Amino acid sequence: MRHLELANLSKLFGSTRAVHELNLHVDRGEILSILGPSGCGKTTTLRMIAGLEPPTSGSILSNGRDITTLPARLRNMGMVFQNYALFPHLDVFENIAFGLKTRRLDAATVEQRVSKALGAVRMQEYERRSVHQLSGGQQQRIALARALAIEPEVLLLDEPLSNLDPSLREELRDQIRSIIREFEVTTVFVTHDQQEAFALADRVAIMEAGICRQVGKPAEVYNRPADAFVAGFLGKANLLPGRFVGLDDGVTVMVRPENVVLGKRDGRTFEAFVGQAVMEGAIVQYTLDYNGTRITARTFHHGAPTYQPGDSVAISFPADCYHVLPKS
Amino acid sequence: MIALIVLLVLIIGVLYPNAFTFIRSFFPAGSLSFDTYLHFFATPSSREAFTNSLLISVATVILSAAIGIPLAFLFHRYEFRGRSVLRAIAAAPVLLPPLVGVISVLFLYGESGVISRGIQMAFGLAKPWPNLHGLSAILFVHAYSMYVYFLMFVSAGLDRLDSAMEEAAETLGASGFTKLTRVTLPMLVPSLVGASLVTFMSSMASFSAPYIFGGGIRVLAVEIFNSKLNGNIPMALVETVLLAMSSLSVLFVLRWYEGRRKYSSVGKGVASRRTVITSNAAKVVAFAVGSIAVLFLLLPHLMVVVMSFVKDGTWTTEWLPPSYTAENYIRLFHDPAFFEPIRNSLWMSAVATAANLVWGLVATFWLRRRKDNLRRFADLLIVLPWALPGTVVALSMVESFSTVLAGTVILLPFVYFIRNLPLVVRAIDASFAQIDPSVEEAAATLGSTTAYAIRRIMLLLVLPGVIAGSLLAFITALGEFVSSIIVYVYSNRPISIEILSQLRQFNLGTASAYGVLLIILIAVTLLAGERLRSPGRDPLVQ
Repeated sequence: MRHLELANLSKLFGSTRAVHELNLHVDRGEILSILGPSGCGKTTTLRMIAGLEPPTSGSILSNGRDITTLPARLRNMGMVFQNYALFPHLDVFENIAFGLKTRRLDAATVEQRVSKALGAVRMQEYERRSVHQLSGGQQQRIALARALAIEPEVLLLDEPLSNLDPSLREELRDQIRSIIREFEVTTVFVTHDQQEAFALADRVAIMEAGICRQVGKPAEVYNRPADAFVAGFLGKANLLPGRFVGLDDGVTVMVRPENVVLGKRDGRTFEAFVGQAVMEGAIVQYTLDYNGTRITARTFHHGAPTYQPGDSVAISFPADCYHVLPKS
Repeated sequence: MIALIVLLVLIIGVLYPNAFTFIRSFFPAGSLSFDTYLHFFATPSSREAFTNSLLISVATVILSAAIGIPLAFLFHRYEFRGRSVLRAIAAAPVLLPPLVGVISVLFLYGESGVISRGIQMAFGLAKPWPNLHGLSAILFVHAYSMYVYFLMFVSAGLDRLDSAMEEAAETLGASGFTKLTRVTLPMLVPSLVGASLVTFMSSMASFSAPYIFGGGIRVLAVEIFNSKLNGNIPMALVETVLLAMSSLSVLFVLRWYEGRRKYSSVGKGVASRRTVITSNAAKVVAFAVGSIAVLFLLLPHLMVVVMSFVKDGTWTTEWLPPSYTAENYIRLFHDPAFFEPIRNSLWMSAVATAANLVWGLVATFWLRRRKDNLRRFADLLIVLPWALPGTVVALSMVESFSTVLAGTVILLPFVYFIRNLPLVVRAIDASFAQIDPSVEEAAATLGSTTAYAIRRIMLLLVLPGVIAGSLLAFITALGEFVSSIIVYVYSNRPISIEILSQLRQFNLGTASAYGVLLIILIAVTLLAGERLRSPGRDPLVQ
């Protein structure tokens, strides 16, 4: 069932096109990630859903109701800001209670909802702390608790992990995922990090220059990108010129580096030269040269790179692991 | 050695005079006695001066806040035609030297003021209106000149405010009013406290307005001057101590309050966008209100300029001054007797500022390497001349140096020097604080000796702050009136004193010509400062 729907949504800042004719929907309980490089319009989209930015044209529907012109305060969208935007003059409890008090709930309900939210983020004992005494990860969880406490229609997360240490990110990512699942809340979150998007989302929408390039399940968009941009944005991709046998038109074939098979002579193989072999830890990345075409391959290793620069190696692409990009 | 010189100046110039005044106030006739204090509080007129000072200051804070806060929001939140011009002109009252602003208001809104008479004629009133005098005139001058503190503090606060805070409140269901009262204003508390503090203390210290408009309104700052004039030194000392104590206690209470809570936002902030006024009706209203505001703000400046061309002694009962001439200006520069005050103000301000500059640099270099009680002691003494009213500083110094410096031409520049210490030190300090410590370390790793590093790197980097602080000190000294009137001798009478004496002789044109000269000197100095600072500013400063 469609919970949130964006129809032909556009936003112009002066003459700059931030979002163009965007069509997206989020089902009830679904987690949608909007992924894209900075300046692609993903945050603007999120802000339009929250009601913080009026769209230039198009409409936003929540539960089938048009909320395009509804002010932010009446939308009941729980938003977690990139810098958390915790009120510095209020303590943790008061921060979370803020949205409940504006709804004029009685003290007992406020108390009960705040402790439920704090429990969900596992920070009950911090109720009376000042927000200045919290670490970045803790502030992040309080911001999440504040957004969840109002029992929002849709939870909106703006780059929720970008201000955190890399070591903390993965841990918090998993926590957020389980919290969202626990609350069964429809979620839209914005990120520029492909791993984060894949790990959290049921579906991913990839945006570039204000245009939505592709929407789909993580595996779908990764393995079957709609175009060269999506292919390259979601990870390393070899984009190789190819041609269907018997047809004259050239096509582009995408093969992920981890799908390039080295040293096996079954099926159709090519001879390539090893240009570089870089040991990256768990894997080795080879830069190969085939008749002037550069091909990147990533493989596991057994202690040391199997091939050295200058070696000749047989490469092949398993039939189910390449994808012909549609003509643009 | 350096420490000794730095401290000696503070001890002689700040600690000694204030300690002297404080102790001496309890020894009116050589032995310990509270008689003068008892006498002060037993005299209704003295009590009245004390409560008047406090009440006027509270009223000034309220009025200034009522004007300054909405204006700050208007400039910060809305985009309209002429916004940046109006924003710049809003600070115009700062350009008026204290005494000049007061006499200009007198010319405009006083009993025979142009506006008062104009309104009387236009509406056929029996009496001039608004006919500002006494309390209303004092409050008008205070609000006109001090609302700028609220405008500046609140604007700075709004600049620092992360727009995500208000947006977060919106998404949590807060209405405009809730947002303002529960999020925006609480987060502006440090700015509001700062502005209230500065306004209150400036108002307590205010001398020119109550002195000129006084009427029946007694205030402490003027009472000190009168007591001294009447030769009642013990009473002057007691009044000085009381004025100093009230200013300082307000400072401490507000500082303590401010220190209790933290308000700065925890993450890095995003500035908000201005709402563009689009509706035509609103545009017209904004433009009209803006134009009236500009006119109102610049009217005092304009009035002094007009008055400076009025032939002395010609303007009596007419609505507008009847005859105009350039002779006021010609006299200023051709008659040595008229030029002398200008020369005096220039050399005294220059000497005081040069001393401020040298001492300020040495003191900040020395102070910032220390983190001990000596530093706290020095910091306290440096801030004192800023926190204390000019009348207090001047009277303390003139009384404590009565046997050595009083009556010499050197005392007044020394008073300027002491009063401007905090200004210069703070400006230099601020530039030091902006410098990344690694710059100094980098100089060291590149093999420069400390002295060389300091000379070449640090001096260059603090230059903007040094220039800004010195220029501010120079223009403050140039127009100084409050302490000058207590300390000056005939041979070093500064411009402000000459303005007053010309005013007394009803030479309104000559008095105004001096005023215009001061405004021009101040404006030119400020512009030169901007010029000097802007090219290649902040090259290595974070």
